[in-house]
Amino acid sequence: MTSASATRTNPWSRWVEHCFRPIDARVLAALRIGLATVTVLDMLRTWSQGLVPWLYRLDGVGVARPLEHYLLQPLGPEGPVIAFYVALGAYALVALGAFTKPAIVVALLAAAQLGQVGPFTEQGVDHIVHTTLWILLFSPCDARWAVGPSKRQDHVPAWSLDLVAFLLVLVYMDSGLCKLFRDWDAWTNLAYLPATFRIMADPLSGVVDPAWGHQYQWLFRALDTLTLLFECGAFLLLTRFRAGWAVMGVALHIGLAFTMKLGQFPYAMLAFYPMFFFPEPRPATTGGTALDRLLERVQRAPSSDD
Amino acid sequence: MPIRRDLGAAAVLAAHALLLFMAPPIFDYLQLNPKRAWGPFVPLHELDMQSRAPMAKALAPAEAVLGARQNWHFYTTGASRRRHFEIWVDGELWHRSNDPDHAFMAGPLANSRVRHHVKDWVHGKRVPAVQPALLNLVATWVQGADPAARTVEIRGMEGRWPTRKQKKVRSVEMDLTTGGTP
Repeated sequence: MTSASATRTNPWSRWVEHCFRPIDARVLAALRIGLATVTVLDMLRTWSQGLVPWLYRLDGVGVARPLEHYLLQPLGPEGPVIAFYVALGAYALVALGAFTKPAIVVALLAAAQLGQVGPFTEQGVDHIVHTTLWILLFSPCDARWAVGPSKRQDHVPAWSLDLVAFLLVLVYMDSGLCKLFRDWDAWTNLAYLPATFRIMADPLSGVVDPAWGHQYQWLFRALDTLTLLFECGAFLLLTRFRAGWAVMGVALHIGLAFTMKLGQFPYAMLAFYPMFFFPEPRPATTGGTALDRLLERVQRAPSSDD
Repeated sequence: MPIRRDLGAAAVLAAHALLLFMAPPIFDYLQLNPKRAWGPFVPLHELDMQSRAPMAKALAPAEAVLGARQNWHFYTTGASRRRHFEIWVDGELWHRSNDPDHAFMAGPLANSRVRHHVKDWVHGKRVPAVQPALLNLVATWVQGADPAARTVEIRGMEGRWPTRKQKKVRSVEMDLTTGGTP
């Protein structure tokens, strides 16, 4: 057996090769910029609405109350407010790619403290973004589209995007399987009203008019089925069918952006999706899906960045 | 160099395992409400609670300090009833959830970090914790918009889907001249 064929058959060697296969550094940079920019815009929105003191100042007027792991007591009642502005500045640096690694650490530690002053000051999407940025901290996510200082590279190892994709699969499948097994009657068209109708027409979080929506129950029942299908089948995002499946994800999050008031959630989730549409180099023996071939042709088109 | 790649690949494998360990789909949610487990999930849930959950719980402080808690139970069934939040100033309706004709404070109240407090208050959850803060926020905005305003009332309204008929399930009023209850 030759050393090359031994490498192909040894599972560990294949895993190492898989982790370190080169991918376009712009994909990683786009994820970094997308997540940090959405977070900055969301924080600026909170600031422009004058909600920062009410949400974060520990003066008993607003909702802020220190939780178990709050560590900024020495800064007094303004501690979380200071953490908010520190996190905002650090996220802006992450988006710009300026001193990216230290900025990620500062942003995440400050943002984590914001989550320690109330039950809803931190949300599920924050945890997804934070976990992803902790992963990106160990990757060359500032190899492209960064102010610097950083080392420019055209290709970077793929492991960080693999890990982020795995995280997303866990998020979607957890959500989907809970819907299927815990709330199966609500999501499998057996309940009187479809779940997506009750979510999107809820005046406290959705924007769909209940009277209008009630006339189109078939539409919401179809949305229930598609949501369940996408989330439970999210493992396909780890396969060669990922681009096709990701189209459903993009549609889902665009739909949420238009029909619900969820803040940064749909936009932060959309920031993940470019990575699923970037075809990877593959052996000549595998053809890929039709969508892969189309995306590959788009990628090869001349770009002003190159 | 190959050893470094091997170590890196081992770390990536460990990171995958850690993510799966911290939030295996469905068990993460069943932990919150074990009564919802049924059929094969009952023994699986018990096994999970005996073996994985205590270890995952031990890592919770680290998750909190890093801001990376791993549980992903998002929207499940939606609202069981149709609920609105309303703001009345001197007997006049200024705000009603998702009503473009009464959109005072619509932006701040829809902010994703505020919305849950409003929703919980209307729903009757965490009322003692949320009510004073919510009333303070609304009073500040009302005084900013109309310094001559005398009273502000926040109301929680509830009704069956999809009818427009609703009843008042919660209400609290503030005298803006004294800062107390009228």
